[in-house]
Amino acid sequence: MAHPTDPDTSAPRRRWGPLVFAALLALAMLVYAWSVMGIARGLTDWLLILPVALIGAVAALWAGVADMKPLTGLAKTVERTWGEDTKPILLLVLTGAYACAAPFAGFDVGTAVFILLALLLQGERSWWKLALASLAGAALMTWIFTDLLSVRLPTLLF
Amino acid sequence: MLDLTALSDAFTLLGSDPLAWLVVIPGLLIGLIFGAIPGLSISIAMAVFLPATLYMDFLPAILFLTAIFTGGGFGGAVPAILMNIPGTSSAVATAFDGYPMSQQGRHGEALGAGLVASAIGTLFGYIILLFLVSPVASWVLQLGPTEMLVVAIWGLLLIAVLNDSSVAKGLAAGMLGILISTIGYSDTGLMRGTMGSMYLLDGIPAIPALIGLFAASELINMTGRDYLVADREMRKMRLRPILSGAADTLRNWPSVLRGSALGTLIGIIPGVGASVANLASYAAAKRLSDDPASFGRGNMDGVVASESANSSSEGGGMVTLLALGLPGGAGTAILLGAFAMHNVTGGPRFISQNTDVVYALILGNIVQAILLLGVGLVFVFLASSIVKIRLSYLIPFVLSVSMMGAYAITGSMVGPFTVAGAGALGWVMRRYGFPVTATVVGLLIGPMAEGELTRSWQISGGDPAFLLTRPITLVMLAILAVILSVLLLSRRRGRALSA
Repeated sequence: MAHPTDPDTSAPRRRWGPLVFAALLALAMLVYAWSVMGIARGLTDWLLILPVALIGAVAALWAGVADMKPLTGLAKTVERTWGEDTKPILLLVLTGAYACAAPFAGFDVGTAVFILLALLLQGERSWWKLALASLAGAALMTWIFTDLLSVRLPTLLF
Repeated sequence: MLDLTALSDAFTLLGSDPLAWLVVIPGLLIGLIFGAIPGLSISIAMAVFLPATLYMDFLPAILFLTAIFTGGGFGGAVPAILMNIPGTSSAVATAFDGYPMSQQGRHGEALGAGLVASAIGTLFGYIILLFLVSPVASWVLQLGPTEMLVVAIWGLLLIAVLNDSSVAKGLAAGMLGILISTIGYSDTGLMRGTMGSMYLLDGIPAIPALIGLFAASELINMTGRDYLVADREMRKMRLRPILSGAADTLRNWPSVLRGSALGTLIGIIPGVGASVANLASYAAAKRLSDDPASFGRGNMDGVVASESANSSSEGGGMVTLLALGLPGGAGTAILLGAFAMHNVTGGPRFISQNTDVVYALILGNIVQAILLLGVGLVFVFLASSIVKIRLSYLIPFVLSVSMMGAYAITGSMVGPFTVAGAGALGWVMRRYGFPVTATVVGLLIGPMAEGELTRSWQISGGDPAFLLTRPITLVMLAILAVILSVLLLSRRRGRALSA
C-alpha cells in the first residue's frame, strides 16, 4: 500500500485543459472571422480580420498541443489545482454578479453587498469590520464618483 | 531654429500673468490623482476641467490643462507599480517591472525611479519641442498610411518581444486582442461581432478591457494572499528608497535619455502617442540590455524606459498639435478643444504669427516638469502606504473603484461588464500561460492597424509594387526585418543553452 508521503509514482498524465482552452480560443476567432466574411460588402471589411484570425487560431492550437505534454520537475510542483482555484473562481462569479446587479441595485447598494460578500469569501468574520467596510466603503466611493466627480452612476439610495 | 526675440517676449508674457503660475500645482495634483485612480484617465481629468478654463486667458488655460497632462503622465505609474494596474494605457509597460519590484518590497525605489524618469522625460520632450516645432512640421507631413502601418506592425512585433511564454501563445493572445478591437462599427460602416447588441456598436471599450485583463484578473489571482508585499519589514514607508530610486535613475542617464528620445519621436507621429511609446521604449531597453532575462522580474531599467518615454511623448504630441493642428491622442485632442474655445487654431500660421505664445507654452511646461519632482515626491510618499493594506480588503475595494471608473468612462454598463468579462478571460489566460499583455497590445494597436491597412490598400490598389515608391516605408521594413531576425535567433540560442 502506498504511503501518503511517498513520491508521486503515478504515470504522467496529459493536460487536456490547455488544449480545450486553446481550441475554444481558436474556434471563437474563426467563428468571428466567418461572421464578418458573411456580412462583408468588400475586401476592406475583412482585410485585417481574416489573416489575423487564421494566424491566431493556428498559433492557439499549436500552443494548446504543445501544452498537452505532462509537466515534470518544478513546473509540476508549482502547478495550481482546481481545488486551489475555488476562491478565485467564486470571486470571479461574484464580480460578474456585481456587474449584472448594479443597474438594478444601484452602485451604492450593489457595491456594499459586493464588498461584504467578497470579505466573507476571503475569511473576514468580524461583524463590525464587515459592516464598516461594506457600508462606509460603498458610501464613500459612491459619494466620490457621484458628487465629487459628477459621474451619473445608477444608485438606489444616493 | 530658435527665434530669440520671440523667446524674450515669451519670458515677458509668462512674467506678466501670475495666473499662468497659480494653476500649475493644482493642475499637477489633479493629473496625479486622476492618473492614479484605475478607470479614470488623463483625458477624463482634462475633459472634466476643460469648462473651468473658459474664463481664463489662453496661456493660463492651456498651462492648466498641460499641467493635468503632465501630472497624469506620472500618476498612471503609481497603481501600475503598486498594484499591477496601469492607471492609464501609457503606463502599461511600467507595470511589467514596477509591480515585481513592489512584490520584492522595492516599491519606493520603483516610484522614485518612475518619478525622476517621468520628470526628465517631460523636460526632454519640451526642450526638443522648443527647437523642433517649426522644422518637424514639414517632416511629419511625409508620413503616409504605409509608414503608419509599419509602425502598427512594429507594435505587433512587441508581442513576441514582451512574451515570456512561447511565441505561439504570444501571437494567439495578440491576435485575440486585435480581433476584440475590431468589434463594433468599422470605418466603412459595417457592424461586426455585436451580436445585435446596441451597447457594442462603439466596440469593446479599450480602457475597461485593459483594466479587466490586467487588474481584475491579477486581483482575483491574489485571493488567499495576505499582503502585496509578504515581508512585514519591507512594507514600511521610507523616504530613503524613493530618493535612492531617484538617484539611481539620474546615474542611469543614458537609459533615461534613450527612452525620452524614443518617446518624443513616437509622440510626434499623430495617432500613436504615449500608449505605444512606453511599450516601444520598454522593448528597446530589453533588447539592448546585457541581462534581458531580468526584465519582467523587477529590473528598474524597465520602469525608467517606460516612464521616460510616455512622459516625453507629451512634448512630441505637442509638436503636431502646434505645428499642424493635429491631435496625437486623447489628451492633445482636448487641448485642441481648448484652443477652439479660445478661438485659436493650431498650425504653421499659428506658429509664425504667435511664436511668443508658443514659446511661452513650452517654457511653462518645462517649469511644470521641474515642479512635478516636488509635487510627485509628496504624492508617491502618501500613495505607497497602499502596501500596508490587507489584500482581502484591497481586492474588493479596487474592483469596486474599477467598476465605477469603467462606468464613468463609457457612461453605460458596457464598462463594468467589460471589466468583469475581460477579468474572467484574463484569469483563464493567466492560468494557461497566455500573456495578457499581448492581448492588451493588440487591443490598443488594432484600430490603427486596420485603418492604415485599409488606407494603404485603397491608395495602392492592392499592388505591392507601390511600396517601392515609399522609401521611408522600405527603410522601416528593413529595420523591422533585422530586429525580428536578431530576436528569433537570440530566442533560439537561449532555448538551446537552457536545454
